[in-house]
Amino acid sequence: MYQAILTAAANETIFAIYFFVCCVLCKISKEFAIAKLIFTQQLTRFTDAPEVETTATVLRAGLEAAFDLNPLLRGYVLDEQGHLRKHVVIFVDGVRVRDHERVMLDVPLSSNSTVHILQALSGG
Amino acid sequence: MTPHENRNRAWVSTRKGLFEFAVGTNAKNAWSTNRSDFLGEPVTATLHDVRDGSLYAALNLGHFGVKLHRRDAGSASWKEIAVPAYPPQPESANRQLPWKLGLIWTLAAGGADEPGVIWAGTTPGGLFRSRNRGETWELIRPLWDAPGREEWFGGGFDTPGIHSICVDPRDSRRVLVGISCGGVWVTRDGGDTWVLSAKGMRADYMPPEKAEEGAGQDPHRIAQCHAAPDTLWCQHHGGMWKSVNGGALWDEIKNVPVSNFGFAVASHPADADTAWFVPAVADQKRIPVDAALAVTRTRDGGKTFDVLRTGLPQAHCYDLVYRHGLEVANDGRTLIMGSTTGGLWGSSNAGDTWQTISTNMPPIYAVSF
Repeated sequence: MYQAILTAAANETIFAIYFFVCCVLCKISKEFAIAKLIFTQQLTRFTDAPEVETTATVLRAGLEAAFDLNPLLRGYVLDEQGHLRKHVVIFVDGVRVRDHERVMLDVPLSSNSTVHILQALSGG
Repeated sequence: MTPHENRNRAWVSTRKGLFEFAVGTNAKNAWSTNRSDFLGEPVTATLHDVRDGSLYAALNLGHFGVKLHRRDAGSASWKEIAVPAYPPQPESANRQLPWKLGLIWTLAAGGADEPGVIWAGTTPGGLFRSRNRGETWELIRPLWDAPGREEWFGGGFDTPGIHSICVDPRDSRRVLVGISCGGVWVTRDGGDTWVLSAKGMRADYMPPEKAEEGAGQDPHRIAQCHAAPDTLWCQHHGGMWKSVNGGALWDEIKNVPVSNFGFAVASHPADADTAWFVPAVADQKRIPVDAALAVTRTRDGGKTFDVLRTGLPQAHCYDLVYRHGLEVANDGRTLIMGSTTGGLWGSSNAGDTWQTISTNMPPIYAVSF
């Protein structure tokens, strides 16, 4: 009987540890969710625009991560007011950033988001 | 130090790149292309800074904004440098006029006594200065904040723009700028204070009661005589004007041959009585008169004009020469002229005769020596 109690206690402990580890892993995975930013290769005529992976959870922060790698890139994507350039278009998981989002750049990025930064046909 | 000291080379800024030419020295010595840069990209202005030999090229990329590049003397390669940037737009500002760089319309070197100083005229109307060869820029706030700037309006573009910057060779703090449309403004203290200086000009496109208001004037281009800087020539939207007192008063040049409408003007660097214009029919018909290209030249201060046609197309010619499409070298005899339909001509005898350099360039925005 004691053995049964001990076994049950051990199982609960193991379960508790398992539960704790799961929670930690889940939190870690959220903190390190990876979004991928892909810039039009038309930009490479002018400056480096490599694919960037970021843990940012908002579009503007994701772009900032790319600008950290190449500060020149900022002026090609954003104007001096920090707005998306008139003739640049961004898709987040296939959805076009539009209207006030082009000013705020506050579109959420989720785990495994794919962001395409492209030239709009309106610009040429 | 005189402007355009190097008259052996010329630069042509076009819709599809920057082209460098070796200048023909006489009628038999043809102009030839030395090199091209930024092929496929719009180049809106090029400055050859004779003080240190560097070149500046302003680009206006269709998608990715305005860029500025510098090529140092002796270097074969360009370096991308900072562009003039407008400061954060306050909530209280007119939202119809975003504080965003639209175009570098003209670049000008500072005086001989201020190496590294570069001026940039832009749309939507900001004047910028760099003190370090374009590494950083400052918006000249006193002009941007000048009372009455809200009266400026677009001429040629949706927003106002500064296209002419004349730095007085006698005193680098004295700078005159021409604005389409915002008139003529002058500073005598390096940009700290500005005075509207368009008295005498007339804008027939405005209601009669506003026709003589300075801030409504559309000076298409203003050229300064280097040896006599108080002499200024202006091709205005509504005619041709001249000032002999640094812009304090402008006198209309009347009874001109061919047409008084056009965009370009060039001033002889040493002879204050000599200037060149390129007439077109009128505002509503922007082609050469009778489809025959002509340059008009005065050598007596605007009293009379020669009509120069030799070597220029005289039939079925629809070329228009924009504001920055005509330039004279420091010898006062070498001229280059480029059109919006890709015509490019040079003269080695002050315009008496012209050589066709090309008839199939991209649309030409600006020429310079």
